[in-house]
Amino acid sequence: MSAKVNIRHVDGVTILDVSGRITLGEGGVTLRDAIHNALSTGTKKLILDMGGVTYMDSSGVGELTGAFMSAKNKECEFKLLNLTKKLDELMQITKLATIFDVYTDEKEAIASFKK
Amino acid sequence: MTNFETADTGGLSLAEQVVRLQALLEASRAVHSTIELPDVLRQAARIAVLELELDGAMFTTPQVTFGDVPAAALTEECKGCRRFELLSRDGKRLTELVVAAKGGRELTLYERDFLEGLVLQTAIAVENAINHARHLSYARLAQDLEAARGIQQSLLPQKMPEIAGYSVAARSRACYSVGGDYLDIVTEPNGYHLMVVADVAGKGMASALMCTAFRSAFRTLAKQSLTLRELAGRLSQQHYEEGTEARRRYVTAIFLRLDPASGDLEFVNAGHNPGILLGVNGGVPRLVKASGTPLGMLPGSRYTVERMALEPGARLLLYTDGLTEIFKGEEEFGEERLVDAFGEADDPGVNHAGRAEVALERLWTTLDAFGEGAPQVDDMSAIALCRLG
Repeated sequence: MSAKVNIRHVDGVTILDVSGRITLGEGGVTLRDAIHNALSTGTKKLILDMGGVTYMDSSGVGELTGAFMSAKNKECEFKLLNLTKKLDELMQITKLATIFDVYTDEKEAIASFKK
Repeated sequence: MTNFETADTGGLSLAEQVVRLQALLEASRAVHSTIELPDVLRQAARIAVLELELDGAMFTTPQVTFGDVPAAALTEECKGCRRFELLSRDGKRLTELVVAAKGGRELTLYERDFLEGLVLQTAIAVENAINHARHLSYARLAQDLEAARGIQQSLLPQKMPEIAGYSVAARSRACYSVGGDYLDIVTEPNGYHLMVVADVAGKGMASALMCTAFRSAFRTLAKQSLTLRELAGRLSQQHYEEGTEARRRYVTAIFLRLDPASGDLEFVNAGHNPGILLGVNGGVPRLVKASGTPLGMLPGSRYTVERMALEPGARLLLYTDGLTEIFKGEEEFGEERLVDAFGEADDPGVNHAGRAEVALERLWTTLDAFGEGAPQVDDMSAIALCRLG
C-alpha cells in the first residue's frame, strides 16, 4: 500500500494521519504534498501522526526533516506523534530525535502547543 | 446446385474473393515489412489510398498522412471521413486511421471490410514497432548503467594503503547497478590515514550521482588538513547549500583519522550507524554513535570528535545499514548480530596484512547466509581496520 494522509482539525491544531509506506518512490511525494497543503492554509500548529506508517526508508526521514524546515520557515510549530519502533530507532541513530518534538499521546501533543 | 460461394459473401465470386484476399495479404506483408513506427503507418496509409482509390488516409498519433485529407480530419467533425481505431492486444487505443473518400462518398461494404482487415494487421505491426523502440531504449539504458557501474567501481579505492602494523580492507556491493554507498581512504602528508564510510539516502542512479558529488567534496577538503569536526561541518553545509534535491539525498557518514604510530583514533559520526570497536579478547564492544545529524540535511550542523585508541590486536568496523538491514522473513540481522558476526569473522591471532580482508570475506558469507539468498535490498559497504598484535 502506498501512503495515505488524512487531515483532521482538533482545538485549532491540524493533524495529519499518515499511513502506508513512505519511500522515495512511493509515499514520499504524497506526504510532501499533504504537508505543503497544510502549511499553505496558514496553520501554525501541525501534528504528524505516524502511527499508521508500515514502512519508512531513509528518504522518508528526509521528507520529515524537509517538512520540519518548511514549518519552521512559516513559523508553524511542528510535532511528531506515534513513531513506530523502526522510525524511532532511525531517529536515534541519525540524531534527529534531538531536533523533533515527539509524542506518544495525542492529547499531550495537542496540549503542548503554546497558547 | 448450391451457390454457397455467393450466399456468404455478398454476391462475390470465388475469383473476386481470392483477389481481395490477396490484396489484404499483400497489405499485411507490406505493413509487417518494417519495424519503424512511422514506416508502418506510412505503408498502411499508402495501401489504403491506392487499393481503394481514396483521396487520402491519415493516422492521428503520430500524425502520418498519405494523399489529401481535409484539415478537419483530426476532429470528429470531418464530414465524409471514416475513422477506424487501432487497438493493442489488451484493448488500449494505439492510434486512429482517418480516411477521406473522393467527394465524401460512403464506403462500400468491401472497402470497410478491407480497411478493418488492414487496421487489424497494422495494429499488430504498430505494437511490435513500439515494443521494438522500447527494447532499443532499454538496451541503451542498460548500456549506460553498465558504464556508470564501471565508473563507480573505479572510484572505490583500488588499492588499500599499506600501513605498517595494521591491516585494512574495504568492500562495497550495490544492490542495483550503481549505489548510494561511498567509502574512501586518504593518506595524509603527515602519515595519518583518513577514512570515511558514507550512505546517501535512497538507492540507484540518483544516489550514485550524489555520491560522486560527495566524493569530490570530500577529496577536496581532505587535502586541507582540517579537523574532523571542521571537515564534517563544511561537507554538511556545502551539501545543504546545493538545494532541496540534494537535501533530500542527504548523507550519513562516519569519519575516522588514524595515527598509525600511536594507534590513536579520532571519529566524527554524522547521523550514521555506529562504528564498532572490538578489543582483542571480547569484552564490551565500543560503539561510536552519532554526535550530530546527517550531512546536508540541516543548515549549520555541528559535530563533535570522539577519541579512542586501537590497542594491538583490536579491530574496528565502519559500515552502512545494508549490513544490519538484511531480513530473514520479518527478522532483521541487526546491530547486535553484526557485532558478534564481526567478532567471529576476525581472528586477532592472525598477524599479517591480509587479516582484515579475510574478516570482511567471512562477514559477507555470514550475512549472505542469514539472508538465505533473498535479493539484496540495500547497498552494503564496510571498512575493517585491524591492529596487528
